[in-house]
Amino acid sequence: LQLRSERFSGIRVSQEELLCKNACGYYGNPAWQGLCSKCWRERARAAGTPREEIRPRSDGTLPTFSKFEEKKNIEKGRRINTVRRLFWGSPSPPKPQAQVTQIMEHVEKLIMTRLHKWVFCHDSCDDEQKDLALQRRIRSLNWVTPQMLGVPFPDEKVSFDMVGNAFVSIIEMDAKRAPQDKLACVSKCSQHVFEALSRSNSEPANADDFLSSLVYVVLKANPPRLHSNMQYVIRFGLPHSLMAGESGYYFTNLSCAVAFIEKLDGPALSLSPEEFEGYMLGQRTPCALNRRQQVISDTQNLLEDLKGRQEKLDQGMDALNAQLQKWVQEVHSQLDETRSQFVLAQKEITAQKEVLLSTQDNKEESVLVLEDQDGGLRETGC
Amino acid sequence: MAAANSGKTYSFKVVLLGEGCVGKTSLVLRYCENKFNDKHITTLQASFLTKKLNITGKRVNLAIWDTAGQERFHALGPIYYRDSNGAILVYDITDEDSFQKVKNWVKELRKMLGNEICLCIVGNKIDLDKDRHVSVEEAESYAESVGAKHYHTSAKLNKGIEELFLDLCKRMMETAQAEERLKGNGASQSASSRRGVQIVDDEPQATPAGGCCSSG
Repeated sequence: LQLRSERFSGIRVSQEELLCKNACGYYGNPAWQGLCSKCWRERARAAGTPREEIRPRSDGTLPTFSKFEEKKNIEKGRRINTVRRLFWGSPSPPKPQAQVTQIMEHVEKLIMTRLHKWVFCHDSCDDEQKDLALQRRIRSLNWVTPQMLGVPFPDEKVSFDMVGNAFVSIIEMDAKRAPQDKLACVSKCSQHVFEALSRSNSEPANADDFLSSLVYVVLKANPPRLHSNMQYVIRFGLPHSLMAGESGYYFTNLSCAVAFIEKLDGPALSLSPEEFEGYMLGQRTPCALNRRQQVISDTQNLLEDLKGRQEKLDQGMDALNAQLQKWVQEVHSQLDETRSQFVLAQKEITAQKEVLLSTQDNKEESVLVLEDQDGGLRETGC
Repeated sequence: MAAANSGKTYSFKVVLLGEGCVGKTSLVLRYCENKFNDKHITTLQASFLTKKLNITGKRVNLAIWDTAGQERFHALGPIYYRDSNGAILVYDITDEDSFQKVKNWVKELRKMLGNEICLCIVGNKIDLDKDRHVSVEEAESYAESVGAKHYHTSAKLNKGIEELFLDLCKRMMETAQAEERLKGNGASQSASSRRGVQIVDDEPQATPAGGCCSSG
């Protein structure tokens, strides 16, 4: 693992610097004064031997010491055997690869969750300084816009939610303890980036789009202790998840994004070196100007948008007007029709009435006659 | 990361290199989803794709890593192709420039990874043969001179892509097997130590006093 991690961080350090100072061909470690583990141990032993030589002599007078020594040897042997059995000595048949990986992942999570507070950003390395340097670097680049990076995010408002989620995920990485959880955060962040990209692009995002978006996300989110977190994952993560697999791909891209940010210069943002310097040093004027321009273009867009809407509204109103007039005309014509029908009907009714009246007159007369007869009867009855 | 041999499953990492518009994305999408400029593509991204193969009874997991090909990302190449087993270098046959870029990448890959990596140089867009600007002879002789294989493909017409990947897988398997044999002949101990935990009890027995226990 040591070998691997050293190779991984070799991005920024030349090969020679990493090698053991004893020139034995293995990689050295700054914590061991630039020596590899073997050379360091040999040197430590060389320094330690005189002390050990003295001790047996002074203790050698005691007759029980040899027995004590023997006992110690036996104990030590037993301990080594136990450890051996723990790791690969068990006689059980070899487990399938998938199961082994799963177990490795669980063990990694368990161990690294416990060890996190001791080994994360350890004092023996200069991770903290590098964190600060990276953070400062990112802060000094706060003027970079998506347009400069060529990020094809469609509209800030549309994609903001998803880019915002990406920010949250990448910042969340610092809060996780196990390397695999940190890796999962990187993956989640990448997924959000892809989602945001898919909104603007109908075809699947390629690596160029993804990397420039990721650079933008890292620049805007400025995740805490990014360098330490990445080194922690490199040093203590499982190599198979780091080197292969989807999460490995995303982590590699994050490494690329950080390397890109560290070496960022004018041409990479399609700016002239002078412009770049101006942004970096004078910051405010170009930045403010740029912002103002942005605001102007934004308001212009907004105005155009409003204009378009106004026009649409006008058209709608005209259409509605026409419709209303049509409707009124229709109603009028219908009214006329019904009126004429009504008149006709009325005429008919009056005609019928007249007929009725003439018949009624006859009837009334007869009724009168009948009533008279009735009256005559009643009078007689009383 | 070489192939993990247990269970006869090989895992290979293949990087995809090429300039912006040479059709890298179309190439992998055609291979992994058999689609070209399709609206029904299900994946959100074409930058990391996997494919499972079965070659002569051996399972192969292929992970295809797309790399950022823009000029400004050029310096980041080594981060991408670390530990890769194969590289597919794509150029557009109608674009002389893209072929020059391929040459640069070949140099870099050979410098960083030596001869362990299987190189494929791919001339894409052969459906546009009438606009060809890179001659077949030039490309093939160049490929031969750097120990790479040359392929002609068209993502649009689905030509030569299946062959390209199959051939590459076979070559990577051969390389992996040769490596294993080499490891088997040499110190098998050191070979296994790279994949697992190894406890070497090399504390010399001559100094059995307590001090060395804690230093070990």
